[in-house]
Amino acid sequence: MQLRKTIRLISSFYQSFLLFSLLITACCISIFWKYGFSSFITIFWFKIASLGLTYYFVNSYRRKTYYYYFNLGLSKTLLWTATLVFDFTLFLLLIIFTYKIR
Amino acid sequence: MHTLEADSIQLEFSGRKILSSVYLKCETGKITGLLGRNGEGKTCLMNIIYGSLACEKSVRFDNVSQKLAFNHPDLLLYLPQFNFIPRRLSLKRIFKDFELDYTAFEQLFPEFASKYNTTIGNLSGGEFRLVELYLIIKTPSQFAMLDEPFTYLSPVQIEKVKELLLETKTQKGLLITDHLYQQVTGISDSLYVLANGITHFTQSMDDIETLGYARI
Repeated sequence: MQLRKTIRLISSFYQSFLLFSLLITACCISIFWKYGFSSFITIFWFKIASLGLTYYFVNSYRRKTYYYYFNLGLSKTLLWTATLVFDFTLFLLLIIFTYKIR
Repeated sequence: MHTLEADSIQLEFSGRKILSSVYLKCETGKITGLLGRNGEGKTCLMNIIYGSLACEKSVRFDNVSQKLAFNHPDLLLYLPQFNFIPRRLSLKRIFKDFELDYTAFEQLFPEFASKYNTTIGNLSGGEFRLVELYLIIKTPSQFAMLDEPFTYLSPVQIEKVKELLLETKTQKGLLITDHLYQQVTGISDSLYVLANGITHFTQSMDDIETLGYARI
């Protein structure tokens, strides 16, 4: 029950930058589809940079909402670790999938 | 009964001392009021106790030091002076997250009767604040800090919130700061005035005037 609640809260936090992140991932996939494995290093760092930008944006403009999660027992470290690991894993899985079907 | 104590706090910004000699104590069963002019450091003090503002300090819950209280909502909940709930969440979702019964809230504030599925961002400033306040007051924890809880509330809502606070203090120690000082002094069991970086424990209403916070 507690795990379900934690996952629900983390996904709620993830939704605050989900659209931007999916857009970046879609761009990366389309570049990878067009230019193949030679573009991997570039899109890899592009994705990393976008995640850095997301972190900066949320810390600058959405930091007030951290208190919602603090009051529910979720730390900043947990929120960011879970969402960034999930987002980057999704990105890698989609790259592998694209590589296989290309 | 639980106690929350804060002292040995040293805070300065760009060489300017904000807090230098602070002692504050909250207890279960008591509402502790904190008054002070703008810029005296009331919000900073709350953030320091909460752990979201780092500085030299000693914050103790039942004599056990706790530097990052924000990681322990069972010890301390915090209502900051700004809106902290993500605006896209519905009241249904928020009450589910905090595991609180919406019906009880609705009975206390009938104006929310048809708003269970409304997103909080679509509420008025007063309604938004009232929801946040209710969550912090009703969610179980040893202590709660409320920074400007009465802002945006109507006089009727303020009276209801005060009743709620008096009812809650038997289970939870409360630390409150607000510029509506008559509302704060009206319900506080102990009162501190923060002036020149020092907390002054007040014995009477005259002290508030002597310390330059208000003309009584």
